[in-house]
Amino acid sequence: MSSTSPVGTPRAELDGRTPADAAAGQDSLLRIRDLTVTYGLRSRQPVRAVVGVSLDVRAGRTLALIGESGSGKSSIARAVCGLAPVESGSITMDGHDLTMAEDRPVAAGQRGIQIVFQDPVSALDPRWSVWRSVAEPLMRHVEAVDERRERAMVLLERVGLDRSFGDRHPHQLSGGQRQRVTIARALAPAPKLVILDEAVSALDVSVRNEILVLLDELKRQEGLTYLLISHDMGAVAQMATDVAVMYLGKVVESGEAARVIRQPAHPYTDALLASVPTVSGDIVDPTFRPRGEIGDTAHPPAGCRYHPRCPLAIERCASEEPLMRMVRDRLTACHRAEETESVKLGARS
Amino acid sequence: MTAHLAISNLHVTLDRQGVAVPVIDDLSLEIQEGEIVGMVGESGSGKTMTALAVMQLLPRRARATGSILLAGQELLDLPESEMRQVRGARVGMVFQEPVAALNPVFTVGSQLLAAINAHKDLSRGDARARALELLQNVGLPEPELRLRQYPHHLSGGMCQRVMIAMALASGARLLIADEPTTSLDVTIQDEIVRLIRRLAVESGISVLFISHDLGLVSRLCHRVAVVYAGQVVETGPTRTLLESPLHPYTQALLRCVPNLHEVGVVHRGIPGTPPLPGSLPPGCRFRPRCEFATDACQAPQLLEPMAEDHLARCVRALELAGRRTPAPTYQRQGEAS
Repeated sequence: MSSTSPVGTPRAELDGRTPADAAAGQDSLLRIRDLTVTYGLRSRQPVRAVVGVSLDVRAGRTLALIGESGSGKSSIARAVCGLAPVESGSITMDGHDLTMAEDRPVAAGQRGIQIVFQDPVSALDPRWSVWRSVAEPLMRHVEAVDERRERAMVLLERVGLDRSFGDRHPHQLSGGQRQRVTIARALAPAPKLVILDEAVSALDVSVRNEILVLLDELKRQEGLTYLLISHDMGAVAQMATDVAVMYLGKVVESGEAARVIRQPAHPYTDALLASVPTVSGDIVDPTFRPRGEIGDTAHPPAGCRYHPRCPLAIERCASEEPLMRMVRDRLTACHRAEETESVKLGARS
Repeated sequence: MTAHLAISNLHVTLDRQGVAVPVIDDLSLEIQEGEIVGMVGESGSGKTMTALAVMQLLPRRARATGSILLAGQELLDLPESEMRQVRGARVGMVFQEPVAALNPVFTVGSQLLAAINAHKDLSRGDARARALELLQNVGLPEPELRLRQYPHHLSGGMCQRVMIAMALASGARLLIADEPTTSLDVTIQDEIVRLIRRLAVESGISVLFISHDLGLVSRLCHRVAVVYAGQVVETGPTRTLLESPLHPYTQALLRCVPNLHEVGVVHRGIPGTPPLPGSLPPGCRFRPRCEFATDACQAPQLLEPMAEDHLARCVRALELAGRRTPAPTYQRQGEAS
């Protein structure tokens, strides 16, 4: 069952579009259907990092994939770029299938997908001047060195760096400046979709927020769409318009960011959000504190994958896998999703 | 009551081609028994240098002056042979990368036993019993199994629990935790923070908790010291600091803490970057990035008491405290939150 086939009744009176509408996929820039990413497919113990995930990234939006390490969020990002093995399912960008391409990374680039990684230190060649790194994606298309250099300088200005940075080397830059350079490089081929894979996670909070402001400005100026992979809920709350929560290779909840973050329906989403340190001064007790740590992707539990950690788990959760269905204006895969809100209110009073 | 750890007027300089470059400037900090004190600041602000100064593990070209008293004993002029008796036995330290801090080719058990035997001479059976007790105390499930396992069998969160067990193996009463949760997931980070708090409450150990995350620090610490460019710019009880921050830098850091109630609002960070050691601006070190800077800020600023138990290093602190500035936010276009 794909994550976009709601079993419940979608509520039609919502303002705007429901996730189910998006499932129709007319205006989705990136469509992922029943994607399974498997490492070591021919080995004795293949690891299914992503299992049957369907997602839509609509043009002009920012979809955030959140979850703990091992949830499969980075595997999805890598699969979209052609850097992770796809066992089954499809990835369609702008109507073009990317999974069947002969050279998947090249196909992704040609269809307008670029990625910005977490660590800007290892993402830049230390021996190259900054402008050369930024201009690298233009090598095939722009022959004259002077023009490539000029284009790189313009890109640097667009990400808030002075032209003088073009002649410097990565070691002369701070972490935030380096990340601006990798963003400039991602913009060089004029992409439509930029994947931000933990792009601000390694930065200091003060610098991180400046990069978030830049990314948001660029999104409007360049008409970009973002797929944001992050474990940083602060960045997600600020940037995302839509959120998909992943656990052990599956999506457990997805919908509009404001709805999912303010009123999570899945106990895991609640636990994830309640762990975020805010400045309330006290440790806030999440209603659904998870037990132990994320399970092993190679040996996922039967039934609901989250049930061994879930304080709300009942017998049914151990035997029957919950399907994605519409609950309170978002899709979620939890047998007890209707009750989470009342259990939470009960625990508070 | 004398503090368990009392750092006073600590200066650390690094020798750069014969020139002494100051990296920590007149830093004072006290931690009582059972108290958790947070030290917050950006990369390069001198947080880790302070921790290394307490452990006397500063790089060779560094010079520390001032005073660091551990339970009344001066650490700065202690010879290395005696300092070895302090490290591990009286002060334990955990670092950011728990997986990298463990040796991949030895079992968890052999590394933990080495930490136990470093300062005590226990029989094999006693040492093993102590190891199991330590692992239980840090909340590691199946301790018997963990002793036989190698670090790669454990998750990052489990490795950090092992590191905390090792840091406390010889009965250290002061734990220095340098960004102990930075590489961990939020759910696991939360568990580790709870563990540290429980250890402080149950066994009365003191904790110096170093982090760049003011939100995290406020969850855990009794008191907070905000450091900027090698200086403490504000210090006080956590609640005071959160409710009435006086220094513009603290206020700016607070704005950067995630607020999950405001979905879709991008908060401005702090423009610019912290100054590098050796090229500090004259006067207030935060001045080039400060939105409230005036001529008065060109004079060096002193860390002065502004209210009871609340110190700040800003000439305009009290004047600005009255008018709380609305956080400069930035509404995403086309999104009404």
